[in-house]
Amino acid sequence: MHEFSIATALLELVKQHAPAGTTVRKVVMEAGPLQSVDPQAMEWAWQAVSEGTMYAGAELEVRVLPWRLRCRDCGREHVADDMLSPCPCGCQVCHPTGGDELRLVSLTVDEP
Amino acid sequence: MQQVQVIENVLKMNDEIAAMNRRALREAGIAAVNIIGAPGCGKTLLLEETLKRLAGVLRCGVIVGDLATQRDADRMAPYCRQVIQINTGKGCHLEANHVHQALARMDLRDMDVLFIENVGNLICPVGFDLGQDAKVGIFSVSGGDDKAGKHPFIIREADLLLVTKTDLLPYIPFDWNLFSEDVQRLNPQAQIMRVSAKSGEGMDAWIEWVVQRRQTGAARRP
Repeated sequence: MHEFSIATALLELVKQHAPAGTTVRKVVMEAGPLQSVDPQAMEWAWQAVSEGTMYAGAELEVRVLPWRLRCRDCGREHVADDMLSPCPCGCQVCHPTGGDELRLVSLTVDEP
Repeated sequence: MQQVQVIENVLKMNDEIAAMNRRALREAGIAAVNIIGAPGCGKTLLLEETLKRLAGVLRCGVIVGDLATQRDADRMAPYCRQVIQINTGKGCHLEANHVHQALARMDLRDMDVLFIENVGNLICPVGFDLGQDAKVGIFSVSGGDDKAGKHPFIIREADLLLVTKTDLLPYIPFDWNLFSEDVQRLNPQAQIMRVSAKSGEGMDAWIEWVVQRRQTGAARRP
């Protein structure tokens, strides 16, 4: 349940980046597949940590990024939902590149 | 309605504290090893045996994280003067701030290697930088040969992978090809060692790795 720790850190970042006097309506974050972030658990954690703050009620959108896989043989990259996805060239061994992203992407706010 | 673009690492605060830990540890010439593995994979027994073997060779410190109890600290205290137990309560992993607070209670001048035994969990601890020099992923023979592929993050992040409890191999089937193919796919640079803290198999190579780590760390000292 690392989603709770991530949500706590996310709330701090939202506080830093929300323009003064605005109401935050939506928070968008993205998570690479290595982070094993469950969007549903993340949304519940966000609701729990934001409750009682001025960010309560803000919607959280979690975008889980696909795997980016580089083929061992031909070196081409492809994206896939499955880590074990073979390369279009037929090679069965592809190495993930990146995948550890965990980023606050944007905020949608109501202007005062 | 207005959209504010941000693009910032969610764990920025943790990473900043981890950077402070890393700086303090490097200035003191300490190699810090973050040990990550599932509950019951043999982290604590490995550390007990490691501390015994390093006595008189390197001055060790241990920070050990568990949800509850002092049991692990009690087990290691006979072999190490500086052992700090952290109880995380509901927390499923150690964060940089836990280590920061523990370091404040330790004498860094009297330490060559710091072992950080993370909370038993192969998932959550991986994403939280603690300020370590190296991450070591622990898998056990009894945990199963399919676990590397099921836990890609630790395999990607680990500098070294230890497969423990090799003394159980006569009783438990373990397909080394499957395990190492998964590791190769995810992290071709990762080194795999087979160890048994009970029989002593592979312990010399592990100890040598720790000693080497400390030497390269000392060479990096500012």
